[in-house]
Amino acid sequence: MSPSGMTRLVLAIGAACVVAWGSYFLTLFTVDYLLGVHQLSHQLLMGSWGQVIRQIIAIIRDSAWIVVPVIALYAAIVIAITSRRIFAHSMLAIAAGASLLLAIMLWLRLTPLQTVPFIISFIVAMLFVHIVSRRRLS
Amino acid sequence: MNQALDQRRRCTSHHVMATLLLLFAAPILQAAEQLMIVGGGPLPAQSQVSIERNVIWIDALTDSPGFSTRKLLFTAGQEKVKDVVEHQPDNRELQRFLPLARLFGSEGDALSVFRSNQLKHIDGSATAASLDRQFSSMLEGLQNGDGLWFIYNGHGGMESSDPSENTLRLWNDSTLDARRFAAIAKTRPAGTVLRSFMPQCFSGGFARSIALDPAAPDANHIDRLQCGFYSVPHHLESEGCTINVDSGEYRDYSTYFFAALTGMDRNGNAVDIASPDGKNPTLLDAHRWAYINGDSTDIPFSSSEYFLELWQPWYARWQTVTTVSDDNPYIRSAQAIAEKTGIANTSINQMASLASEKIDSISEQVANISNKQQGIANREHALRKKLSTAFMQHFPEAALPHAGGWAQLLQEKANEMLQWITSHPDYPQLEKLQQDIATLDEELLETRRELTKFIRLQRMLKLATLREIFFRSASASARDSYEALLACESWTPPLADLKPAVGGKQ
Repeated sequence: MSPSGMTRLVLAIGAACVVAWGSYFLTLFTVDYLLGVHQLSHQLLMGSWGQVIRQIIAIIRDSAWIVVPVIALYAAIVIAITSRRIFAHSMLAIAAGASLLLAIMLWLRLTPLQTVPFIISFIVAMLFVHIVSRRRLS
Repeated sequence: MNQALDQRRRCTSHHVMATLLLLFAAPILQAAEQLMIVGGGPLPAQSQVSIERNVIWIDALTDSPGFSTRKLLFTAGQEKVKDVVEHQPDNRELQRFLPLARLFGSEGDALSVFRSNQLKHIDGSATAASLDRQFSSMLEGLQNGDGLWFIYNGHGGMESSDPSENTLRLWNDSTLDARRFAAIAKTRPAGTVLRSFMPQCFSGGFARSIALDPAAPDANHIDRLQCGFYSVPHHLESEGCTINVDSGEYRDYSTYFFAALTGMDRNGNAVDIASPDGKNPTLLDAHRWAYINGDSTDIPFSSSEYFLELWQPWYARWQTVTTVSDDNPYIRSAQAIAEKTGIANTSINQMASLASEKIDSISEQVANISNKQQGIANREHALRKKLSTAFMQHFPEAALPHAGGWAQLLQEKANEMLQWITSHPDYPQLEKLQQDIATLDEELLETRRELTKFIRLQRMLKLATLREIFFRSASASARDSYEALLACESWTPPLADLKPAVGGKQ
């Protein structure tokens, strides 16, 4: 891979992480809203924005050790496989990512409701990596 | 056969001897409990009578042979100085000068008088240096298995954005922060227990003193033999500093906590606290009762609750409440609050939803009252400025209140000044506006108390969820820490027999 290709890969991983975290927070709010609890929206409306931003940064900081390596690993698998342009290998990449995600969820012993934001955010991030890698990186 | 009988006899005699030894040695080997009470404000003007009355009450309740050592530090100590400020709304001489106070916008302090405290036995002054020395000395004297209960009743400060720098505001305007408190606490001998009770403003910062490093608390590194109870989170003021002279009306976390411990409130009225096993309530029972029944703006919490929040991993934060098991103590507290507030006791999600709705609507009421009060305050300020400008033109010495001319004016022309103010056509309007502000202050406080009930409910639901996640995901070491903190909090203090109305109405 050329140096510019490496830069693009790092940028793509960074963007995928942002997508993962963005969809994670969005899903948390959606679940909270759909269940009619409204604790998060209340926290946002009543609490100070500074406090909310500090909490978001804290969640990102504390979850980075898991989000970044998973997405980087997934991106590496996708690139390795899609460079051969074999459809079956792409499916293998998705299966590998899903297994990785499942292993993490089991390890953290999450409740079913907690798994929803995880699954959605990682699927969105992986799709993002998949699309970007097929169009630009290969 | 005989050999077996001999062995059995020997065993029996050994058992008897061991039992006798335990019976006689038990009082000697029993853990000694010590008590330290620290109270009063940092300056006479901030050393409210409500603090003094709480300390008199707590001192009487804890005057028990169950404590091997007791120490009470209060304001200036044994020096007979005027260290307590008391509100006397019926004092006619003070009322006479009320128009002057209204003109200068200090009508809230106009009916206050200073006097010496009425505590019977004080062991020393409550300055930071004295507390540091005496607290260290008491802790050093503890032996393995002993415990010390530290009770504070005074003011607290928030010095920076770092909660570990929150302070106890002590006599002579001195301070002792949570870091120093933690450092002293860590000097005690191994195997000794320290329990604290802190109802002051911003007291939540002191919850960090259980961490080995209070500046960067970590659930993996805590002192398992240190626990505490705090009236509010580190960034909030508590309700403990009212100038209300009627102790029956005065209410804060300590009012409810000690009422629950003794089964009787400060005025001698019985309090309904049913201990699950019929025993005397523990500190934790009293805390839970005060949390559910306390009608104040305080949002108290214990060190075990703080530990759960400290442990909370990123994937547990911002999680919507889900189902919890029936043996979860936090959900039981939430259900009790829900019942008291009239929220239908249904599912956890419905309770959370209704609590959020109530918080939104009451917060709006608080904002409306605040806006209304601000509008009246602006009008009052403009009117008072107009009135005081005219007053200064008439009595120019009043512009220099610390100069001799002002003292002379008060001596010679007090009646004339008061007559000038009260006969001014704008004075009745000023009086009315200030009374309206005071009425709205009370309304605001009542509405905030109502709001706090739902915030407490929401917090309990959050803790209930967190406890579920904790017992599913936490390591064995984290569970041990949590259980150790709960054990530390589940202690029954050796209190004295009830003495009704101690520190109550006089």
